[in-house]
Amino acid sequence: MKILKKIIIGLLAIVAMASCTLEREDYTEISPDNFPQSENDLKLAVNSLYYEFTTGTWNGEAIFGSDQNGYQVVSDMTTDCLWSCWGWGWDELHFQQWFSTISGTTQSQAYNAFAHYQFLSKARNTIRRIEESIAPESAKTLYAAEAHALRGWIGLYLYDMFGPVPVASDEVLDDPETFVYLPRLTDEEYDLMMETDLRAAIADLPVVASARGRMTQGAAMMILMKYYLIRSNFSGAEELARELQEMEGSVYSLQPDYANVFSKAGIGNNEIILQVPCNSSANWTTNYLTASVLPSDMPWTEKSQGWGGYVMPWNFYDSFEADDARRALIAASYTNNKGELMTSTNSTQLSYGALPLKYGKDPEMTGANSGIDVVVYRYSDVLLTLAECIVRNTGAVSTEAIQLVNRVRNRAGLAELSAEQVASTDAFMDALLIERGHEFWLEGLRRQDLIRFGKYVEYANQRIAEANASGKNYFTVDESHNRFWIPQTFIDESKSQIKQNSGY
Amino acid sequence: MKNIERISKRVGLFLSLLLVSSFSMMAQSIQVQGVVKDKSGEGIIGATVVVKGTANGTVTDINGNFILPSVQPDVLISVSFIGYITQEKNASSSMEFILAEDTKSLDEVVVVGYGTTSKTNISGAVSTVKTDELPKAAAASVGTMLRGRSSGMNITASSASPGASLNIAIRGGLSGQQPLIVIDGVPQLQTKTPSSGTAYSGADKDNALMNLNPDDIETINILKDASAASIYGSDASGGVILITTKRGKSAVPEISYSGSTAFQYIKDVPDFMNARDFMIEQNKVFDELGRGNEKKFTQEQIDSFVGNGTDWMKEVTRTGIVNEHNLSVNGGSEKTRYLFSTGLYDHKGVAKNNDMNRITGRINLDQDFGNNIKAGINTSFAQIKYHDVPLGDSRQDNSALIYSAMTFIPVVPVYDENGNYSDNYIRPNIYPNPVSLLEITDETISRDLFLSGYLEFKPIKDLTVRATGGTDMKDTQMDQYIPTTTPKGKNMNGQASKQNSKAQMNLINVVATYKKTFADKHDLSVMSGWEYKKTSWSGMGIVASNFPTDGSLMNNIGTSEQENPDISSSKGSNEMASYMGRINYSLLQRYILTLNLRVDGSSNFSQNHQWGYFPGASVAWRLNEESWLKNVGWLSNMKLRAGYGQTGNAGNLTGINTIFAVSRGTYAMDGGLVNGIGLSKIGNPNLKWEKLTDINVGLDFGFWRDRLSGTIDIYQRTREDVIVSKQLMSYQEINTIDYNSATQYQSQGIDLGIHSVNILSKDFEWSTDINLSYYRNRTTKRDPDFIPEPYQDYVEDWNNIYGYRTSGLVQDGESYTHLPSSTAGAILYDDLNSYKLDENGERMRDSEGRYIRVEGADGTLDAVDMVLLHNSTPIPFSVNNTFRWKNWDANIYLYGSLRGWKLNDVQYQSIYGVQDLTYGVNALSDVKNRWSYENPTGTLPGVAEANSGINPNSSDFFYEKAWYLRLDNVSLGYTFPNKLFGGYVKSARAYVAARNVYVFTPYNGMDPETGNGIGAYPNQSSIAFGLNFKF
Repeated sequence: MKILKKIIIGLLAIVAMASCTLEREDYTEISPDNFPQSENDLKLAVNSLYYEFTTGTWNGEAIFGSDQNGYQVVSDMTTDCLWSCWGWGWDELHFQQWFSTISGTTQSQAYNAFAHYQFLSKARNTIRRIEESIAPESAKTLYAAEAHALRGWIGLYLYDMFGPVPVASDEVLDDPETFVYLPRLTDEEYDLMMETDLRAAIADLPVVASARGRMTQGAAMMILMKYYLIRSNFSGAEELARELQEMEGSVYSLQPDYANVFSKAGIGNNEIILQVPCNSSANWTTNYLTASVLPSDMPWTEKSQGWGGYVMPWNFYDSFEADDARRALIAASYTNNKGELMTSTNSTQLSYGALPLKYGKDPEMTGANSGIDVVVYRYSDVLLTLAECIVRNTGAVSTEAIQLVNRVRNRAGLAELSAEQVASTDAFMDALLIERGHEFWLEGLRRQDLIRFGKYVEYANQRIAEANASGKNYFTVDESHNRFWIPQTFIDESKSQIKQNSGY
Repeated sequence: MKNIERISKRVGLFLSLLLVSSFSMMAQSIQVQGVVKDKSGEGIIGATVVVKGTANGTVTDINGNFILPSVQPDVLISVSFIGYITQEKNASSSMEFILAEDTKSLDEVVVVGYGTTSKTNISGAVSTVKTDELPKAAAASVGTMLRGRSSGMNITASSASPGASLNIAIRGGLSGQQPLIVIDGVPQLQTKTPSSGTAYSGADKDNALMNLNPDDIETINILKDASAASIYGSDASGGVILITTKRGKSAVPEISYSGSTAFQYIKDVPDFMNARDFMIEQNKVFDELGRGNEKKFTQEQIDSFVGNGTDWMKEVTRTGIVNEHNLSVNGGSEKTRYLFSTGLYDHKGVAKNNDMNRITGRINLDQDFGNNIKAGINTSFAQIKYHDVPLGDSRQDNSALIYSAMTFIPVVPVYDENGNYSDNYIRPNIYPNPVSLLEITDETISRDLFLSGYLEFKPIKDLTVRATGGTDMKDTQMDQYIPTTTPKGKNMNGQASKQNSKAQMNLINVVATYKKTFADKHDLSVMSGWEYKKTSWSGMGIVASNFPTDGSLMNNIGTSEQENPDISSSKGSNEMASYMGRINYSLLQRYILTLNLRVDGSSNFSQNHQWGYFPGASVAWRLNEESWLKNVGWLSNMKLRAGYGQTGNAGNLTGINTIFAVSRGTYAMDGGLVNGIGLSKIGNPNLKWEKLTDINVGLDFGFWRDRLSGTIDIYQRTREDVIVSKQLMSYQEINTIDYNSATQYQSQGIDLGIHSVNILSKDFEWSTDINLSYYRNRTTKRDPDFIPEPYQDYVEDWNNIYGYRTSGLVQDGESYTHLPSSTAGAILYDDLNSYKLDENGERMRDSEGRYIRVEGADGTLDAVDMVLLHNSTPIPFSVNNTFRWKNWDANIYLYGSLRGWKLNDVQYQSIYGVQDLTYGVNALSDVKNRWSYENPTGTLPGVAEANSGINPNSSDFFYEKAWYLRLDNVSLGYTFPNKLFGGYVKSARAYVAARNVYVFTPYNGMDPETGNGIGAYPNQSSIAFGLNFKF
């Protein structure tokens, strides 16, 4: 029995040893006790916010993707300036044949777009973490301002597509496990949020960013200006446009050559106010807009690959003046790699429209990956917006407004606006809308421009009528299409606190 | 091969020593000739005959005869055989032994976790599989061999590729966990082999049982219900598979060899169009789309086309070959027992370039030190090499081997006139030429070293204390290179990937067992123990592209010119400590009680929830031992069992802490990628163990001396406190959190196993085994935040398939308001229901938050129109027949599922994507039966379907019945009479086996078990030839 005793004592000893704390280790995790603290931590925290604005992969839901999730693509594809030869999912957008009930491409696109409202919370929490950190005040001010600007950027796109969305208060964010069913903000509440974020950003952001792609004062002003335009606050927009205009020469300028703005050599040119910087080596930072257009048999760069889908409808192409330098970037035909001339008679893609190859050749393009930055906002928009606001605010066509438009026209190698075009505000506005279309195709501004000018639905119905004349059976659309419907999933989740946009 | 050599040398040395020692005694020795019989006078085959106290011995032949050539006349000859009482007699030149049955030892020993017990004393749901009885030819993993062998354990293969993963679901797989696999008392480390590359990957690999040589396994015990499995506590929610490997016996060394060669032929190849049909159909599709001007082929080209074009499946496949050799030696003296084994398994898959090769080795050693101390060591090593081919259903430039072979344009030859791989010239530079994909290098080598040792000590007569230490080390290296001859490789200028992952489990436990029989009627066994386990892992990898040459493959990765190659590494560990105890009490071998308790502590939980308690209790009543049944001659066994138990589950949880994580290259600031750090998980310190509670009632029966025997178990399993990733409101920064939900899952089912010896005579034996399981997994309670879909019931079966009902196709001239985009030839989905609206026109909800639906069309196709279409819970079933006629043996084995519904993937993808024909993508011949104005009687959808905006996979259109019965094994063997080899060979058997001969099923897609997706690895039939020898 002595031995037994020893064994029992031994066992007890082992047991005692074992009852100390059990530990789990994972070296890939960072504890909130250690982050964010330093200036570099703040930078890293804000860097992760920028991920929301990447070009994504083909199947991703990136805001600057070139598929139906891409803000710019949706904004142009639903208008007269962009189409695709890929069939249904794209026709659904181009002819605005979307429904809020049946599943379809546009359904998942709308879902992904609305889901970005989560970013408002993410940015808000990041701002609070920055404010609570022990980093130097200067760093806190700078990075909080960047986060404010990014929050405003998403805020703009959400309002643009859906109108006001629900936004969680700090109390709700602090208790994520409690389900609070939030209604949408009112327009006034949303205005306040946008003003607060973007004014804070404008106040504290640098005029020139430390690296291309980071938020600047000008970018924040541009975002707020766009928001004002949607909200029909044209005096606010004019004010910001003028402030931006004052930065001409010192910060921004109108590039002499239109094509250069979108070329490899022109990366980082000072006409651009906001861009998504690209790097062709990573799938999520690649400009796919070239590949989406480029026919697979069209010679381009050594290792490029084209997906051959997007086109500019012929009607839109034909609306350009023949000597417009901007039209030179749009191919009406091409010689393929077998030496055959491809035109609208022997190429499916060209039968749909011309090839809007706005972005230049990147010799390092491999596959579909081009490294030329995606342009978001640029200075010529400031000039045209200012012209528009002057006329809208005064109700008269001023010399200043005419000159602003003419600067943009001259740069494109065109003559000044004709006497007829400046004869009345209506004529001027019609000319301005055409000018904006010719200037900004493939940049995702067309949808809001048409809505602002009251033409979005009208033009869609023209396309629908034409298509129906050649055998399609599309339904006509109404003004409710100026906003997308809110995906039912979010309405259900909110226990119907979220109210659907009217008309759906 | 070196291993084999070494072992055979050792054995040789041992044998010659034996010879020398016997020669020295030759002078006085006699030759003993004898026979061993049972009571009925039948010779006993394989009985051990030894000269007592020596290693001199032999085994009886098929007629029970034995010869011991040189024995001293005054020694004792001892004859033993399992199930009989050992007999000893003085040696004489002619001897006869008539062995009496040992009723007590007939009782099998069953491993139950931290100990063994006799089969009679089992009160839980435990089943036993003997691997001798399983056909082994052309089966690498014991997992594939176990398919259908035990009721209540459903094993399915998700792919038919060599070494592909198996899903082992014990009792419906309610816990979502794979079973714990315990080898000789030490649990195996569970890992997942990561994919070798980023662009392409092969099938998921079998990580559970592949590193075990089936030839090394003696028995497999399966703890099915929690009353038995709770002894493994939180690791046991998926059930427990206890594997006992073969060990040495105190006898003369026995050398066994088994080997086989099998040839494999592709079984299911869907019928894709040949070149001519393809051209005709492509032209038709252009017409149907109103794009007749774009036709790629003139009638003249079609008429003058010679041959059928390229059969791409043929180009990328071959006859598979499986070669297998196993050699083992076991033996020992009274104090030392050993087993050495080595095995080679080499599989050339039916897809070209797809291989698997396994080398295994094992040493099991037991040594007695005096009468009270015993120690032993088990060592096994496995190296598995795979060469994978890209698999999967990705499209366009990501197309994998089989998918490409099915869909690549059939009108071009393999190589163009310049000797390069032909391209699909209709849409160039996108679709990979299937043969070019064979140039991809994709190697995985995984090594597993499994070591365990024990020390057993008996301080007093009935007490055993056993300490076990074990370690399982797994190391996997994955290499991939995609050369520039493939379109993907060309785009990336070659891509190389090297990934390494290491994992290790260390375990130590001490178990004390006290076993005693009091007053001849109280059998008591008490076990108590402690265990500590630590699992750690680490890994690293690099993926780089842009190489100057393809020549070095992934072996000179530094030459990459890529700006930002993808580099990664990781490391982590967790710990678990446990206490366990068991009391097993049996009164008069009639009333049996078993109580288990396991207490587990895991580092995955916060301090206050770290410990979980998992009890188990079961009782059994052996009715046939009662006096009123004892004399019923035809009843040989009748045991009623009832059990209750709990096991735990840590879910797939990754921790309780709120953490930030680095994301690489979030944005291209200034064109260069920068990193970011964001919140990646919010922790929930209140997390606690999931609990699974089982109730089990069972009956074991045997009639006519167990000629007909079987087991029925009825069970209910309830899973509560389910750890799920709860969906938080979608506006939250992180919108999931791990938590114990109020959701409750429940499984109810019956397992039935029957064994029948239909015919038993001297020359002919026929026995049949039938296994059948029936179960239902249901969600019985929901989380309060859950809102069911309008078509969903609050209590819901797991395997329900919901979707739209369809009524054929939209015909010419028809239009439907609920299908605004569907024109003639599109599927006619039924608009069955509508939402119930209140007076304001708002949709009404019921008390559970679900939208209320009312019958009747509302002109839109939406969620309310979805209905329950089918239920696909399998009913696993198997029938095994074995026959013996004199020296011949035969086996016919069928397994399958008596129920199943499955989307006919090949047809669905071909028809749905019929417009892709215009891109030169081939399709199933079925597309000829699509609706068109030319073919208005076509029953499959035409080109209009793709524009409908509805995915047909959410309807009943392509679903088919998919029950199946696979004729898995038909084999015939012959055991050679011993005389033939003059006594040098103890036994020799040759056999031929046909595997996977036929599948009975109404399903028209690929294999109903493994044919998942259009690019599924084709299943194979094999014919195998094999030999087994024992010396």
